[in-house]
Amino acid sequence: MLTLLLHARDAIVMRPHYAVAYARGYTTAFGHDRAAMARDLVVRRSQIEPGRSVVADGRPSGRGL
Amino acid sequence: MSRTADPLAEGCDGRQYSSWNVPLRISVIVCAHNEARYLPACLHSVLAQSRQPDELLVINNASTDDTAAVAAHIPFVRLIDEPRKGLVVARETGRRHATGDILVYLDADCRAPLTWIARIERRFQHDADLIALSGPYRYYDWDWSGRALIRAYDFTVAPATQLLVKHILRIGTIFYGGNFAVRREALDEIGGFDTSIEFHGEDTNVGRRLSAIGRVGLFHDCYLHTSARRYIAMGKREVFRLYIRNFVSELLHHRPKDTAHMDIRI
Repeated sequence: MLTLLLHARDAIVMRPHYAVAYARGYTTAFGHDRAAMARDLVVRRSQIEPGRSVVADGRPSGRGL
Repeated sequence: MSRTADPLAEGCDGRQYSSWNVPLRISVIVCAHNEARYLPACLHSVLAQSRQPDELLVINNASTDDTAAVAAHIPFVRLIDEPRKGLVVARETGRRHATGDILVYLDADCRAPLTWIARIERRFQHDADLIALSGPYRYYDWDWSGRALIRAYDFTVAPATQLLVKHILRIGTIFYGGNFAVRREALDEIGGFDTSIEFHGEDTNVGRRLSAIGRVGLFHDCYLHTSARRYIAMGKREVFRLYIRNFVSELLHHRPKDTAHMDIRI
């Protein structure tokens, strides 16, 4: 229950920050990367590749920079 | 709020630091030795911040890989070469080159939560007596048992230790070297970092010296995501032993126990 409440609070409070970060080319790594258990971890959208952890391995892919 | 109108509030010991709602210039400093693989995600996590830093410095510390090239390709980064190898030497180089009021240090394998700098800035703006702060780590590449162990440590062992060493014995503070922020004037006042220290215990050293001249805080909301690569490479038990003996040695003898360290970059 507490976790749900925290997620709900984050969803509301953090939404404007996510929107600004998204406009700058970033997105939350949560859902894209198994290593990213936290919603407040953001990665560059262009770095996301299926099967590769962009959180644990930020190696430039040629597209990311 | 009586501090609102006073841009330079006087601290409890007579020092004057920037205070309530006064804009602070924030310099973020990342020291990197052969961190080409981890560095981009770290720098992008800083650039994505809700409160962006006024300056982002990468100290290329005697790297033999593509660290410098990787950092140079990322916009807004100010790259500084430090050919003398050593974490503390690199941090000191960062201090000398940074122009901000608040110097924020994080390691190259760290990833900053989206509002990390905003939280740090708020802490300094709302507390004129605060000269430095640190926050705990959360590990993004560790197994569940490691993560659970560290969270349990954060809420049990760390507060008890902090109570003992900071509030009862008054001999220092818990200070995490990969996640701390400090007022430039305070760091200048203690003479910067002790570059005679190679690696382990350097955070306890700077925390102890800072806590002797002002208030140093440990705040859970200033946490940082980081890699558990040292724990994975050396084992939990060995790393805990290493940290504890250097923490105790630095507090009691003002010198860390271990002078050598294992390079765990993989």
